[in-house]
Amino acid sequence: MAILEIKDLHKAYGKNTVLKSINAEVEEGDVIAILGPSGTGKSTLLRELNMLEHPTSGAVIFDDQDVTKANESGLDKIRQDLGMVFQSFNLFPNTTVLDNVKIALTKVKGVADGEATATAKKFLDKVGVADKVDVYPASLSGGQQQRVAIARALAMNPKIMLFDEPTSALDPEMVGEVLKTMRELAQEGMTMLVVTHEMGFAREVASKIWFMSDGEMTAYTDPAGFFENPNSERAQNFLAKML
Amino acid sequence: MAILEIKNLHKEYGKNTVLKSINATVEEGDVIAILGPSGTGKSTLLRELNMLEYPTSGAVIFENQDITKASEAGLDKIRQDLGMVFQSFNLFPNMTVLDNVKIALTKVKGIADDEATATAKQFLEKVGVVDKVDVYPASLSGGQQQRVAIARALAMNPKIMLFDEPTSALDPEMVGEVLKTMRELAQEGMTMLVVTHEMGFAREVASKIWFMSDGDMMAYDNPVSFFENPNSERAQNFLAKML
Amino acid sequence: MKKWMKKVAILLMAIGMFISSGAGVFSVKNVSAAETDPTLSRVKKSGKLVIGTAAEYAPYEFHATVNGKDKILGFDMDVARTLAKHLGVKLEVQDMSFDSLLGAVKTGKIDMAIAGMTYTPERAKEVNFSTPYYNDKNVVLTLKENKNKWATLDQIRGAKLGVQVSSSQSKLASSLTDKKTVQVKKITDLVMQLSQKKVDAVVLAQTSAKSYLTQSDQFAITKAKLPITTGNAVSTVMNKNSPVFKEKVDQILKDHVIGAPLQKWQDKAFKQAVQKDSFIKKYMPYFIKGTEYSVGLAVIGVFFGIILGVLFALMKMSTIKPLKWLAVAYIEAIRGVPLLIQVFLVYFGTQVIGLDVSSFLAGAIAMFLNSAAYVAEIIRSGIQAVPAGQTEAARSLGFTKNQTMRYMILPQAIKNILPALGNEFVTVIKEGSVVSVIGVGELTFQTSVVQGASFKPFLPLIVTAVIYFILTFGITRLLNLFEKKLHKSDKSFG
Repeated sequence: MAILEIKDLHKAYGKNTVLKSINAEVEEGDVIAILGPSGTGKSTLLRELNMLEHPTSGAVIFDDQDVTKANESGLDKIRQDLGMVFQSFNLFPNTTVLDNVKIALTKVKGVADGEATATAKKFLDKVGVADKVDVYPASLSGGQQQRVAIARALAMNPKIMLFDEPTSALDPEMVGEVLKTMRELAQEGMTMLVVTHEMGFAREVASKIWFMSDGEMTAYTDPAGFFENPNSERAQNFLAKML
Repeated sequence: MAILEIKNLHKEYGKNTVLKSINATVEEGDVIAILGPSGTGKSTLLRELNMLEYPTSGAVIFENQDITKASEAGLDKIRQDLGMVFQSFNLFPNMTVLDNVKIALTKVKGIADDEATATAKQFLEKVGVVDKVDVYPASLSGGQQQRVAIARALAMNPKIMLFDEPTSALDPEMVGEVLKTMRELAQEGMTMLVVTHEMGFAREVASKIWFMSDGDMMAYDNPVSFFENPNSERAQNFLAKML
Repeated sequence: MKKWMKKVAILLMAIGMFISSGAGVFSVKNVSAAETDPTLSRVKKSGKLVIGTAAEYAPYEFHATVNGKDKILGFDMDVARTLAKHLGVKLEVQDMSFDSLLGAVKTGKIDMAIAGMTYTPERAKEVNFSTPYYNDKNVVLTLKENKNKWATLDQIRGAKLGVQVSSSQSKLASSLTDKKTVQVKKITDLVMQLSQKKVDAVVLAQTSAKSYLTQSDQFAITKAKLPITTGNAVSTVMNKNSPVFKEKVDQILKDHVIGAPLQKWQDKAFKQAVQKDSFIKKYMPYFIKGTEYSVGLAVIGVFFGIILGVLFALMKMSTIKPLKWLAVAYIEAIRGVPLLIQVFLVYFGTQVIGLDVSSFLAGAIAMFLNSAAYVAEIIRSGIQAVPAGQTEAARSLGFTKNQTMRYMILPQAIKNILPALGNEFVTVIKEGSVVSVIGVGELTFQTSVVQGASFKPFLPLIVTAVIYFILTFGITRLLNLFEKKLHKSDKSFG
């Protein structure tokens, strides 16, 4: 069943076209790796799914509703279902790890404090940073910060998780721990869209590949096929550089 | 023949010890990959070889001279022999690509303009960006910028090239082109010290590995054995995360 | 931090002691002098009598265009001419703000102030008053429609009264009303407040009240009779150390000024003050001149400010500690003291150390000394904003420290510095208004002049505001264009 539908999504900044009429569907349980050279609209596409950026035209259908036409309060509601993890973590530096995860529970969902604390701790435990609840983000390593960010998004019980280059800002030896967390999440059946340069992760974990170049997107339902026999020249060039 | 000798090099920032009495020798033609977890002094070590940072104690012997004791003018001379390539390229943004490579030739070495232009173009051609001579660095991709930076250092005809995480700031698909340039340089016999997280490059190109962790350094004369059978637990942990 | 604060405090104390000891020397001198005194000697020696006035007080003294030229008219000027004539010297008139007159007399910037100034005990502690040459009664001016509302002293007890600050009327006004008085610096502003009904009535000298009546039928003098003892005994003002000079002046006033001559001059002055002409035609020259001065001051201020600022910036970044401290102390001291005070310090300070500096020069010096501190910070932060990697790259190629500064750092720093310098120029144009206090004929000063001469308190302000805006907005636009050009090499294709 399609949980998310992208219809003719088009994005231009002035004269510069970033996305050229993208059409795609996300099924429940899909783990989609969005691959492609830098600057070809991968992050833009992801950010238009929860309206962090607004498309120039086109529609994003989620729960029978066109997200692009939702009003502000409608969007506030929708975004609770679309967890987002950023390249640069974007933890709130002025609150502790626990509060980072709790605050949306208490302030957005109106969950009682005791319950929110329990939920937050559960997810921090899940990503393996339960021992850091009382410290501030600045004292964590990049890998730990990103795992807290994942816990923060998961605690809201989203239907889809969006990952925008989650390991690109990490020191290389931290990449593994974050990918491991994401891999576990995929195994639990979470629907995930992951913009990434980690080819190994894409190959092993993804159920589909969206390959983007120059604002166009080609969907591959067979990752192994994509890596072994990409039928486009652009994909071949890209893989030659990355592998 | 040892071209560079590091003797009891020690570095502290306040109470924080970054390098603990490092001893090492660089032979002519060595390609040394300096590996290790982030924040363990790899870059500090490299930057103390050309006195961009000063050691707390110890000596760096280059051409029978302790460069930690060299005068300012002496250092200006020595640094011409130690080419440096930075993580963030550090091209001069207000000069064209050609001028970036030429300026040290004309102003530092006092080479005539024509000859400097010819030399600069020769090295830009070598790194594959000769078609970009007249543009400003900002209009180049990261990979191109880093190759210009390598050409800039090479044009000074250095005896040793120091690379400080030369590919860490690059988009993943740009990494290959820069590593290729470095690989060619190694094949020509350039003496190189490379701080890097690119394990593939270290394994295939390096003649020696310096593994650093917590300010200590272990030198391995055989890269293959380092990767296949690192005899220290710290190296094992590190490789487990990186590979 | 604390160390340099101590240093500054010591410096300031030293300046203070220097000033007071200077004054002490003068007072000792005057006891021993019987035939002459410092002021008289100076007048005789230079062959000119330097009069200070504040020409925005018609009909006492005011600016007017005579045959296309700006002149200071008013019966005080006739008094001044008469004094010079009988002293046998030439007359030189310096126009400045009323507030700075006493200071100028005390420091010897001017030999005498003639500005409709009346005796108060406070003033008498500071300076010598001549014998009064005119007694100007105080009256209550109000709007015509309220003429009968404030007709008796009893009625006035309930009025909100306006007076000129630190004038002889300010105490009187406080005693007349139960309400708090409104104290304003300039009479033109007082009258503006009256016309806008911000005050009920204004207590002022009859002479200037009459001027306003001739200008506008909006106002009337009430019938309320103020105590006769509260009149304004108008005198000239001289330095305390000049008893002989004062004696001579008193004699000339008695013989050639008081009585009929003064009456004649006053009648003439009233007529001159009410010349009819279009506002623009009559006063545009003042605004043009003021604009020239304002821009000139800013150019000088920023130009020398840059020269000195570069020096301080280099000192502050220097590794030589004393130079660094000196620059830090200078920059912090300048930034921590209002420009107004700095202007006064330069203007009177130069006199104290024996330099005769014109008000324009003093204003310009104060401006560039002030600007230098800000320019120094602009340059320093511009240089330090260039990424450290640039220095590292250059040094790694073998560039020396100086070469690195010259070829890599400065060309890039210029891009950060120039726009900020442009903003500083705009700031200096605006802040230049402060030097009007020492009588530099820049835009703000000319505005007061026009307010005083035209009896229009508001219109000149609008004209001035528009001129300032055109100047600053225009310059800002130009700078933006320039900045865009500078940043050509930053454009990437992505």
